[in-house]
Amino acid sequence: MYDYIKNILNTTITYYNELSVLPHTLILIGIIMVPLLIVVAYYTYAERKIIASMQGRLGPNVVGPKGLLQPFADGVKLFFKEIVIPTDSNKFLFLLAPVITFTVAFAAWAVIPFDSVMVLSDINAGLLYVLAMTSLGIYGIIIAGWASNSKYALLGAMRSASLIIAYEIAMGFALVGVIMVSGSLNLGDIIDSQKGSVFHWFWVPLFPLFIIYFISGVAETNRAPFDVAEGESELVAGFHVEYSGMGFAVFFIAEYANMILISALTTILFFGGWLSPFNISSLGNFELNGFVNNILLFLINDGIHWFIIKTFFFMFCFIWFRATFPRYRYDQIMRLGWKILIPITLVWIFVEMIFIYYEVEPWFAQGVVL
Amino acid sequence: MDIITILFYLVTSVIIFSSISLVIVNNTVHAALLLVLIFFNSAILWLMLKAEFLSIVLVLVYVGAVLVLFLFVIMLLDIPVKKNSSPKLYLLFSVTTSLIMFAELYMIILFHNFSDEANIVVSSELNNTYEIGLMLFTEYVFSFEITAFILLVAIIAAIAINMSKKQRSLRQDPGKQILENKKSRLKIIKGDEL
Repeated sequence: MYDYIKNILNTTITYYNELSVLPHTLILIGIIMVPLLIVVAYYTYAERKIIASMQGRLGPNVVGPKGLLQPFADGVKLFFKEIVIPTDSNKFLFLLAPVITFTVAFAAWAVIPFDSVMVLSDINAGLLYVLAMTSLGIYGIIIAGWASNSKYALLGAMRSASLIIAYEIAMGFALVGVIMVSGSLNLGDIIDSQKGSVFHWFWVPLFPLFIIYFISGVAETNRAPFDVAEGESELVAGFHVEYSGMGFAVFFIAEYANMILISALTTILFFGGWLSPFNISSLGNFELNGFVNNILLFLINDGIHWFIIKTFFFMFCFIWFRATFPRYRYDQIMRLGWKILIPITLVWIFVEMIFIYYEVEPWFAQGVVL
Repeated sequence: MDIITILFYLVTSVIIFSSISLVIVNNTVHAALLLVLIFFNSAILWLMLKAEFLSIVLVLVYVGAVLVLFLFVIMLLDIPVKKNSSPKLYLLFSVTTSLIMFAELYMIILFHNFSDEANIVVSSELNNTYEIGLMLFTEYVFSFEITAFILLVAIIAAIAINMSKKQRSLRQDPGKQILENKKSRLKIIKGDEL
C-alpha cells in the first residue's frame, strides 16, 4: 500500500516537472503573439495611411486622434458581425479553414530569432521548419475555397494554390544559396555568419537571390502586384468571398502576419537580423559624457531594435509595391515564376558553387565545415 | 508513462482512426484531407524519434506539395459522391490484402532483431540534417544522382507530352507581346492624307 502511494506520488512529481515547461512556453508564446497581433493591427492602419498619402488622400482620420484607433474599431465591427455560412457548403471545413491559416501563419514564428538570445525554439533545421510551415498555409486557402461552395472562391483558391506552388520553388532555391554560404540551417547561425558590417551581410554576395526571395515572398503572400487570387475586378475577393465577421478577420490577420514573417525572414537571411550595420571596433571610442555615450553605444550595438527597423523597412516595401505596380496578368505571373526566377536561381547557385570551390572570399566563409 | 509516451499514443491513435476513416469516407476531398492528417502525424512520430530532417521534409514535400496537387486534381475533377456498387467484393479484397500485409509485417517484427538499429538512432548526438547530407553525398552519391536523373526524365517527359505543336487554345505568346512596339501597333494618319 505504502509503495503504491509512493509510486503514484513519484509519477505526479515527474508529471509536474514535465508540465511546468508548458506554462513557461505558453508565456513565451504570448510574449511573441501579443506584440505581433498589435503590429498586425497597426500594419493595416499604416497601409491605409501610406497608400492614402501616396495617392493624395487623407486615409482613416476619424476614430481617435489621427484615426489611430481605427484598427480596433474595425476589429470590434468584425467581431460583432454575423458569420454567414453559405448553403450546401461544408460547415466543418468552412470553419476549419481560417483556423488552419491562422495557426500556420503564427507557427513559423517559433524559430525566428529576435535577438542573440530571444528565440522561442532554437532548432537545428530552423530554415526547413519555416519553409515547411509556410508551405502548409496553402491548405487554409484551398479548403476555404472548396468548402464555401462558390465558383469565385474555388477559382481564387486554385489561382492562389498554383501561385504558391510556382513561387515556392524559386523561394526554396534562393534559400539554398543562403545555406551554401552560411553552412547552417539554424537561423541564429545564419545571422552569426553575417557578422561584420553592412557589406558582410548576405545581400552583397547573394544579391540576385535576395531580389528573387523578396519577389517570391510578395507572390507567396498574395499581395499586389501578384494578387490575382483576390483580384477585386475579376473574382470579387478570391478564396474568402463567402467569409464574414470573424472568419474574414482571421484570414486578414493571417495574411498580414505572413507579410511580417516574410519581411522578418528577408531581414534574417539577407540583412543580418539583429546585427548592427556599423563595425563597432572600427568606430573607436566616444568622448561624450556617460549617459549619452551609453545610449549611443546601445543604439549602435547589435540588438533587437536593428531587427525591428529592418523588418519595418521591408514591411513598408510591401505597401509601396501595392501603391506602385499594377496587377500582373495570370499567365505573366506563371511565366515570371517558372521561366525567369527559377533559372536565375539555378544559375546563381552554380556560380556560387564555383566560388566556394575556389575559396573566393565573400562566398567562401572560414567557419564553414566542408 | 511520461509525456512523450502519452503523446505517442495520442498521435498513433489519430493515425489509426484517420487511416480507417480514409478508407471508409465517400467524399474524395475528405479522404485527401485525412491523408494530410496522417502524414502530419507521421511527421510528429518521426520527430519523436529525433529524425528532425525526415519529419520536416515529409511535411514540406508530401504535405506541402504532393497532396496539394492531389487536392487540386480532385477538386477540379469534381467527382460526385456515390455509394459503392459492390461493397461485399470490396470488403473481401480489402480484408485479404490487409491480412497479408499484417502477416508480413508481423513476421518481420518477429524474426528481425531491431534492437541494434534502434540504439544507433537514439544514441546519435550529431546534427541529423548534417549527417544525412553527408551520407547522401558521399556513400550513396550514385543512387542519389540516379534518383535525381529519373526525376528529371519524368519532368521532361511530362512537359514533352503537354507540348504539342497544334494550337488548341487562344493563349497569348509573351515573346511576341514583348517584341511588339508602337510602330507595329499604331498607325497615325494625318488629316490631309485622308
